[in-house]
Amino acid sequence: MAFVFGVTDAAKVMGKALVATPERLQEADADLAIVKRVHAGDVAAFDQLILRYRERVFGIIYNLCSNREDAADLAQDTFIKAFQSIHRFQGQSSFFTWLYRIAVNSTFTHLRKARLRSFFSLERVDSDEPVAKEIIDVLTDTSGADRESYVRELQEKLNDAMQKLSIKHRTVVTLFEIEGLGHQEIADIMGCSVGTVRSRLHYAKQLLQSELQPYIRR
Amino acid sequence: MNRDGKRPVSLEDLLRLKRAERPAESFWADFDRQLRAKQLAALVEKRPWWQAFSLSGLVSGLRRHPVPLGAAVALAVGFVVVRDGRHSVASQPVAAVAPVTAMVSSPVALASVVDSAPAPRSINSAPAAGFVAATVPARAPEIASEVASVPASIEAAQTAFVPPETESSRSLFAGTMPLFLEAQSSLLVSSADPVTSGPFLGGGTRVEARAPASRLTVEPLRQITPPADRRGSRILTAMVSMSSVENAMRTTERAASRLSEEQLYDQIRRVGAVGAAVNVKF
Repeated sequence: MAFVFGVTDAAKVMGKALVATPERLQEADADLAIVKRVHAGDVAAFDQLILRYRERVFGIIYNLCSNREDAADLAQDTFIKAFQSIHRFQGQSSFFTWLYRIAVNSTFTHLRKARLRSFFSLERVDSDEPVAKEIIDVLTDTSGADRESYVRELQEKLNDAMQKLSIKHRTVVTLFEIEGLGHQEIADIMGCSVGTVRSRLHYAKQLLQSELQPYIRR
Repeated sequence: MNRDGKRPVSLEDLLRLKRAERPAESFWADFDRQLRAKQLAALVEKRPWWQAFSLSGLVSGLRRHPVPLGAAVALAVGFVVVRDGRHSVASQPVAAVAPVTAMVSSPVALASVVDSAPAPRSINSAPAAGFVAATVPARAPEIASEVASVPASIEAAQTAFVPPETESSRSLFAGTMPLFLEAQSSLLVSSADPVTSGPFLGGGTRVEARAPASRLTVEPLRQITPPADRRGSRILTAMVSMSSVENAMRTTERAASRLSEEQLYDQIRRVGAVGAAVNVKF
């Protein structure tokens, strides 16, 4: 299969698809180099891609389905599917866009199948993380066990509100607000226009705002 | 800052809190182990063809191996064409011979040509001449006189060509008879019927209407059946036919008593016979 990438190819792809930061460009070039090695027969090189993306892929899936066991299974399936069909990846988009698309589609399929039997299985919030610590400090005056229970309650409310959104709205919110992707990237992953992404994001935020009103402080 | 001296908390801040929901380090060790096991299972597991199939893969395969694939396609097409061609030739022998008649100028000439053909393929003059007679209706007025004088001319031809296989006749006609004429003449011989083969040259000593192949394959002694065998086979045939008639009658009566007239017609329409096979439509 013809698969030729230069150093600037990633920049072209990224420039077309999203706002290219230097870090993203470097990351995309490194991904393409690894993919080339896998195409050349160096199967072990795929492990580097797994190590690089496993947390992000798991994070997306976890925030979509709010169940850590399902998220782990789906993330593993995503990497296996990517490995099995990496010969079809021709560099039309960046590697992580392609990988995220596989992850999102697998999760969609799973959520549609398990629509009636979904339940939460949440990860622990890392209170030492600076942003989380600051927000929790603002929201709580207490410390110790009360603080822990408050954080737990807030976490459940957040996940509950997310699950009230439709799958597509939830995906847009997850990719934009939690994963920090751009509108164009989300449009590429979801296969829709940027306008659709914006409108979905606006609608989803309105719904979340009404659900989480008690926790929002002006 | 609000009245309490604390920064406001927006929806975006709350959602950012979800980034802090992270699994512990031990989780990733399990994750890697399970992923490795699944990878191995996926390698061993046979994927269904619709997952393995892709249009781009097909196109790239065609680009990679054009010669072997082209040869395989040509072989397959050739096989189908040859097989169909055999069926059509076997089913329509007379139609295939039509061009031969145009090349035959007179029965005598054809008789001489056929007579002087090589021995193993020995094509007799009778079928060929008979075939000329069969084509008479197309050119009736001009050939009628020739046909009327055929016995005389054949006799003359026989006397003229009786000296066996002279070198001159071989050399004269061997090159003029095309291969397809020989092949189609042999087909004609094998399918000769008494109407076209008999009347003109029936009395000739060197002329035979039967196909030589059938004569060669059957031994004369085997054609004779002992009287005891003949009697036994006659008795057996009579018994079988009686029992089959009785059974058939009983079965028909039973079926007729059970079936209404419409059902009976429906069943009859479903049953058909083509060649040696019986078709039943369900």
